[in-house]
Amino acid sequence: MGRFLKSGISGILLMGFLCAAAGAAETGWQRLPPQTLARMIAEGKRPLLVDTMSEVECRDHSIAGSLCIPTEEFEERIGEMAPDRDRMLVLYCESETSRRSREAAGIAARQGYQAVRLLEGGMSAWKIAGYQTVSVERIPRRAVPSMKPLALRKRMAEKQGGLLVDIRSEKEFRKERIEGAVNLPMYQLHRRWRELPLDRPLILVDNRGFRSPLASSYLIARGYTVERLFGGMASWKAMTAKEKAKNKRP
Amino acid sequence: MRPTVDRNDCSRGMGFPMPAWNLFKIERGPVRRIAALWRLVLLATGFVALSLAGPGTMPAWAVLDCLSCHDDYLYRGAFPRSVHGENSCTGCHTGITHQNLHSEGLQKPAPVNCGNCHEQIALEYRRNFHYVQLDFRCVDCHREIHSFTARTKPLKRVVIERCTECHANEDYVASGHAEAVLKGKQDAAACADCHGLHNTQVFHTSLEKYPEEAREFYSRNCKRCHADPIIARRNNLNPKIVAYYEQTYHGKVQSIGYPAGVAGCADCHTTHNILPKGDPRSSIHPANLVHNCGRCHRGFHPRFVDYKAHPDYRDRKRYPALFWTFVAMSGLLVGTLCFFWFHTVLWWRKTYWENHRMEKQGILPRALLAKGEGLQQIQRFSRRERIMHVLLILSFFTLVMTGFPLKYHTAAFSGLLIRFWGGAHQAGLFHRGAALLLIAIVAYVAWMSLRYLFPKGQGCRGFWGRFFGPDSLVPNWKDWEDFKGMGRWFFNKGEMPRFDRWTYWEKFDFWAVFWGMFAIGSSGILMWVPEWSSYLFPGWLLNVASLVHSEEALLAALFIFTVHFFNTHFIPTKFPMDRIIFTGTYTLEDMKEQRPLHYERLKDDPRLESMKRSYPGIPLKLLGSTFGLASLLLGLFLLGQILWVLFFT
Repeated sequence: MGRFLKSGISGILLMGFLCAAAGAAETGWQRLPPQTLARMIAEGKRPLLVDTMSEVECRDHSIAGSLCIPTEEFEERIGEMAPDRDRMLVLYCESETSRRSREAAGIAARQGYQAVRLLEGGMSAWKIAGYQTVSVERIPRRAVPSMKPLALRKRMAEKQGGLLVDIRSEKEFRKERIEGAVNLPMYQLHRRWRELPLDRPLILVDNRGFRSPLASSYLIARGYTVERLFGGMASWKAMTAKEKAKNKRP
Repeated sequence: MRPTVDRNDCSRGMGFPMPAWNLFKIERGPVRRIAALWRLVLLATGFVALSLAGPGTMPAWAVLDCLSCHDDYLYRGAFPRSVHGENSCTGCHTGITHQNLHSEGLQKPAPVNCGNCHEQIALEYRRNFHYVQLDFRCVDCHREIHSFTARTKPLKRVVIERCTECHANEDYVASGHAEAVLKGKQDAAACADCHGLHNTQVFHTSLEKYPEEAREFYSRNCKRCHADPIIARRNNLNPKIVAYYEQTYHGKVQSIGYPAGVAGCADCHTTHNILPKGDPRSSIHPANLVHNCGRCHRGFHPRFVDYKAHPDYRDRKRYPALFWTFVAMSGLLVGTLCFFWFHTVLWWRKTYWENHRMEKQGILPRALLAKGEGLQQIQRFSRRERIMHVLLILSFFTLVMTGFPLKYHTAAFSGLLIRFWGGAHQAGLFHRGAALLLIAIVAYVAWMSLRYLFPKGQGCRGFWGRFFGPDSLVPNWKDWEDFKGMGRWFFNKGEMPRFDRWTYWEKFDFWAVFWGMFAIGSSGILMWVPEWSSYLFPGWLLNVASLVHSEEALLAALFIFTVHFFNTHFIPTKFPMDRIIFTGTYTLEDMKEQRPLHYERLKDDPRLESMKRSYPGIPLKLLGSTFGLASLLLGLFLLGQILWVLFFT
């Protein structure tokens, strides 16, 4: 009886421990709701705000007082942040999934930052809550024609010209890309845009179709003819996956 | 020294009281000329007064002359004629207090906030995808803001033209909606009708909220027009098509918040290239249906596509099978309930009057006077039978509480019950689990019945005796006689019949479960695996199955919560409950009174001795009563909700 009791209790404890571990993994970083951040700023408790999007995006719009350090360069540029490791660090990116800022948070924590927070819901939530952003250098938005994956493939097959420019990170590009695409990550766009050829239209490819509109506007302002893949690489992958499934089916 | 702010000025005190160009506007007629002259005098006086007061105290509206520098045609010529022409420059471009500082580049205007005037739009736009993800501002779409004039083209055309500057439109252009818009039909859907105008939402394949929210969002937008009787009539469409869809499994499941697993409008009709059924390019053209349904369903026979996505079961010509099923099921429902409710009311009247007579005459029921041998407990239901009844109750309530929220998906109690189960998906799992339990119980009872009919060692010998005998649950001639006898008793024309082991209403209850299992169980299984069902039956049988399942469930619930509850709870001799089904025993005196023929058969039989049991203990009595009364209360609550939906919504 005692043995049963013991093994039962240890089983429950083990399960509790596993659940707690799973819970911690799921919730990840401590999140700061936009309202809390706004209150802190209003009260003068200025946390260190870092926008982890690219330079182009960050200068176009970000929360007032933010540093612009893209996730891809976070490790090497961490010195630009305050050396005080105990000061609260609030990281954010554009999307509500906070994928980029989560990655940056991992680096910051490894570098010894004690109070790393993510802005809950990213800048999207900040805007939805009605708070303003500031622009250092706003890029005038242009009407950028987009094409869906099928149309892109048709165009490539017909060799109608156009250079596919993949603006995702090098890592993502290495993992999977559309044939014939060149890689110019978004975080390097402000430094390297001159490398792109002016003699043919560019077709921009990003992850989900959310970043290429701004990159396109940026390049159009510099004299390029730009189009973009609607839905980004995700829609391209969805198309190829669908075709694979269709071919598998008898 | 603050001027009156113009009614169109939105700067709240930072603009001209009246636009400068209005002061110098050439007007016709003597009165207007005098008025213009008067304005000039006023203006001149004002300037003189302000000059005397000194530049340091002058308000911005008085000292700014924006057009002296910004003197393009756009500002001088086009802007006054634009829709914003009544506003001043500083009405939008706030933050400039001193012209000199601004000219020298030391003072920049604050970002334009259109929301100061367009408050509602600004509020909607806060959730717009173009703002949230791409940081588009008003001016990024309304580019010619300084020369913005009233529309000359229809709004829908303008919207299409503007959206398609960025968004590929080849699918939409080929669709019926686009064709209608281009023909000038203002009812047909342009981009903003489905995606929203200032509250555009995006449900991307790469976003986690796809497809649940997307399906709900777009279906809601489709319904907005297609369920509108005025729009539908004007465009020769069926205004009830949405209501018919909402009566199908797809529609109901979507309504209770489990849209992931069922088809919304766009799943069948596609998103942009929506075409009428007769068009061979249409997704719902008969030749394309197998492919279309195959986008969600797998492994079905081609006859699966005979399923009707929005049928009208009252339409005898187009849907005869559904129409007649509906008639038959309604007839069964009304017939059964009317018969038993009538039976129940008569029974209650007779018992109540009889009790009253006995009370008046001071006669106590025989069961209360029992003593000695009469108090001996006799087993009526074995432990196994009682457990089965408890399981039956549990599965029945689970089925009702998970199924009826789907049947009456728009009722308030549906939401309550769905939340109780932890969401529609989980409710569906519980429904299927309870169904399996019920099938198992019925299968076990069928097995027990076979064991009774063909006992070990006897085989078929004496089969008919057992089949129609007094221990059998098969209706026999005696039941017919009892039924007539009860009728006479109800009307004081005779004594109450003397029953044997099973009464005719108990036999009805028993067989009703078997019939219910056939009707509800088989239709439920067909719908559970609709693709497999198509190998046996055409798709339209699923529509029939859905109707049968739903109507039979209503009959079962109403029967149990009224007739069965009366038999076991509300009959005055048993109120508030007869707990025999939980404790399993009653007194010998009860047996003599309620089942006299059964007692007489057994009184000289040694079997009676083996049926004697000790008095049920307090825990069992308490447990039985609590469970029974809780079931009663829950049943009455559900009955109230169902009746409310049936008669008041």
